[in-house]
Amino acid sequence: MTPAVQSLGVVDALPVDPDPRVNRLPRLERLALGAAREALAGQKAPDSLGLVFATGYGGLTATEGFLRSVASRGMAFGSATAFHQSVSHSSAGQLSLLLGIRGPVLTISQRELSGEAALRVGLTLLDRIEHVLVVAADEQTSLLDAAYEVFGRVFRAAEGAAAVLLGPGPGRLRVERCELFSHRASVRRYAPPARLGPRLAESVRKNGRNVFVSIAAPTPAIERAERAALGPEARILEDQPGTARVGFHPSAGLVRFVLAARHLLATPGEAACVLHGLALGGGQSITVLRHDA
Amino acid sequence: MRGVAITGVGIVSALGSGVAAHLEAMREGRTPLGPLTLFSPDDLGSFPVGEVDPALVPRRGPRSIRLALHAARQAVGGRALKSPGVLALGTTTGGILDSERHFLKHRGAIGAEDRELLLYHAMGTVTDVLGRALGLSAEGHTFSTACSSSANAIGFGASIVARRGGWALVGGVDSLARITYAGFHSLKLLSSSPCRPFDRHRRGLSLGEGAAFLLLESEEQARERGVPILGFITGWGCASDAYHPTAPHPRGDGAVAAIQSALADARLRPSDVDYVNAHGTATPANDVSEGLALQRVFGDDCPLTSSTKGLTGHTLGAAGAIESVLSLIALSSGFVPATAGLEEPDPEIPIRHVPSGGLARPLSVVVSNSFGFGGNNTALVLSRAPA
Amino acid sequence: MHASDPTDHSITDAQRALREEIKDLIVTTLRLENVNPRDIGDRELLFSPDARLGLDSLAALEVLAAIEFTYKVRFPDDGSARDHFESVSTLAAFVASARS
Repeated sequence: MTPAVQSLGVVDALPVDPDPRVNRLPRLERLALGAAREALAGQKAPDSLGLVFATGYGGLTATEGFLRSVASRGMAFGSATAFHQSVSHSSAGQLSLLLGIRGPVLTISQRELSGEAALRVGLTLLDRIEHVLVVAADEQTSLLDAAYEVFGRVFRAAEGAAAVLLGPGPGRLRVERCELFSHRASVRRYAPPARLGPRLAESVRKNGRNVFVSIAAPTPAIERAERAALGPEARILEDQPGTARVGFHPSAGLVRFVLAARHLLATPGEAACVLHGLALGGGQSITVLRHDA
Repeated sequence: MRGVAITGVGIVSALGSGVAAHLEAMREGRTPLGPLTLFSPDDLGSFPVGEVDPALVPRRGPRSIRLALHAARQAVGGRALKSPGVLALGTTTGGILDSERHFLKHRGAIGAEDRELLLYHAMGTVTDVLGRALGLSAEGHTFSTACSSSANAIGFGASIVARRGGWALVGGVDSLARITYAGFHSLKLLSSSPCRPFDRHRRGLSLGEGAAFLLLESEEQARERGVPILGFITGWGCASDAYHPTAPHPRGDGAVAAIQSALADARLRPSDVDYVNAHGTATPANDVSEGLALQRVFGDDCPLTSSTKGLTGHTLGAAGAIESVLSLIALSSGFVPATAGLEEPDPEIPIRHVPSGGLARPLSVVVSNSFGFGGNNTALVLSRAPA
Repeated sequence: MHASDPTDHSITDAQRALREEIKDLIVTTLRLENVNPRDIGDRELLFSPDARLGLDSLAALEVLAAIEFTYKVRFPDDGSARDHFESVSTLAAFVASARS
């Protein structure tokens, strides 16, 4: 049985919580919590629930903060709070605490495919637990912007978080496929167009009619390669009028998933969406989201 | 989980390189924990650590990648892993030994110089580069759940093989780094003498570094190819405390749930377990809550239990993998290691300790515990025979 | 329980100044937005769960590092350090004796 998408959440700006203690949490956690709460809104968190949290470079602010405290005061005087927040898993730990999640709680970090990788892991966990909440979040910091310059420019840098609750149902959308691949590429490059093209084109061809595509488009050059591989007939979500263009960040893949899901739900006649994901270092993902007619 | 055979092993730590070196070190029980030489601790002073011998892994280049490659190559051996598979790795430091130098030089910001040091900062790069260096065609997954990272990577890879066959190269790596050394110091969790798990005078953990990998294949495929089967991964359990950002649950709720879930996954009962390789970090809090958790799971029938962190140090993200390999070595050799560093067992901790010097005892089922920051608890079950 | 207990004539100006400095350090280090350092009592309990400030173990570690750095002192690492963290008054007493 293909797993159902039960609900969704997405934020592209820092939410303000009525609880002041929540507003004192690290920025990354506040983004993640905003999306998670939206996905769980209007329902009690299921008893049998796991969490897969993904972040490409999360905790960067805390890592920088800790190293700054050490640089300015000395190795013996590091900030305990900044250190514990710099541990990648602290966001997931905090989320599990706030949402009362006692099932498996995992943190995945797979560069710009982090959201898709978390989705893949979350789908496997459904063998063991009835529901899985997949949350991806990345914050934009000047640190990350500067780091991307080391790897080649990125345009429309942004931050955000997305959440997807997977379960046995009910839900009108199903994740039919979520696969990850790796191609040979240097750590600072995406897979070459000649390699990423064929799989993308084939995945659209195989999925029948009334299919639209969401492209990764991390750079103008890669976007051109994706469009070339898809051909002029392809219906690209990002071109649809009224569709928000998601800025680039490592969790953007899951944000696009949520937007594609909402588009499918709002548009009868659309059968499926193929989501393309790409990461520096040669990773590629294909996710197929299908509307239960 | 059924049919997940272990057909390759690799390991490098402060104890040396390879299975034979680690078995010998476990028999000897001599701790390698000593002064830090990988970088200068500056004003922090020296807390004993478990460093990998520079003769084994040179200190140039991105350290986590070098350590991972060293161990992964042992696990893969001469095998040509053609079909698509899974590469799942656990780490907490990634390439931070280099990137932290950049941040420290530029006082926490990103500066114009030495940006090359940032190249391997993202944890996912270790997995990407490892896959590329081994010529693998595999989906890559990087788990970063603090001290249980590689235990989860192993469990995940095993669950894929159980479900669809094929292969999975699973494990983990972490290098020593200034951020973790200074970081655990800031939490006052570092011991100024080599760590003493479960001891009444324990004063904290000793950090370590290293890498370990297992090659997992479907039992059917392994038998068809005639490759030796070293053991089986039969259970994976993972549960969260949801209690506090840094402190473990005082009654070990998440740990109990993880161990019970792993045993259920393996379709085994607590009485089937011959040996527990504990998380046993030697912090006051962990050892007491782990002891309580084991008592709740096993009752009065507690299996022989030891912590090997007195031998390797706490290797953080690599701990799950390194300790799974040590558990596998115990399973295949019939030797149960004692807890190095334990002299006076804490009477508050109701554990059945392995006698000093270790014990020769045939084992069928081992449980390996890894409990991480943020309340993440993971247990793996390794078995000598198929489930 | 307000400010430096005005009836405590036994403390010197230097001791009073140290207590006020430590209050400033606590508020700054922990970024306590709505707390005026002058409102922290010398003997006010800092770290117990029902204390007004209700600071937790992580906060204690932050303050410890800040005090060690600022005053060039070292707390003992045998677990007895927590006794000094009861209040501003006990912290100041430790700093004064460690410095002498």
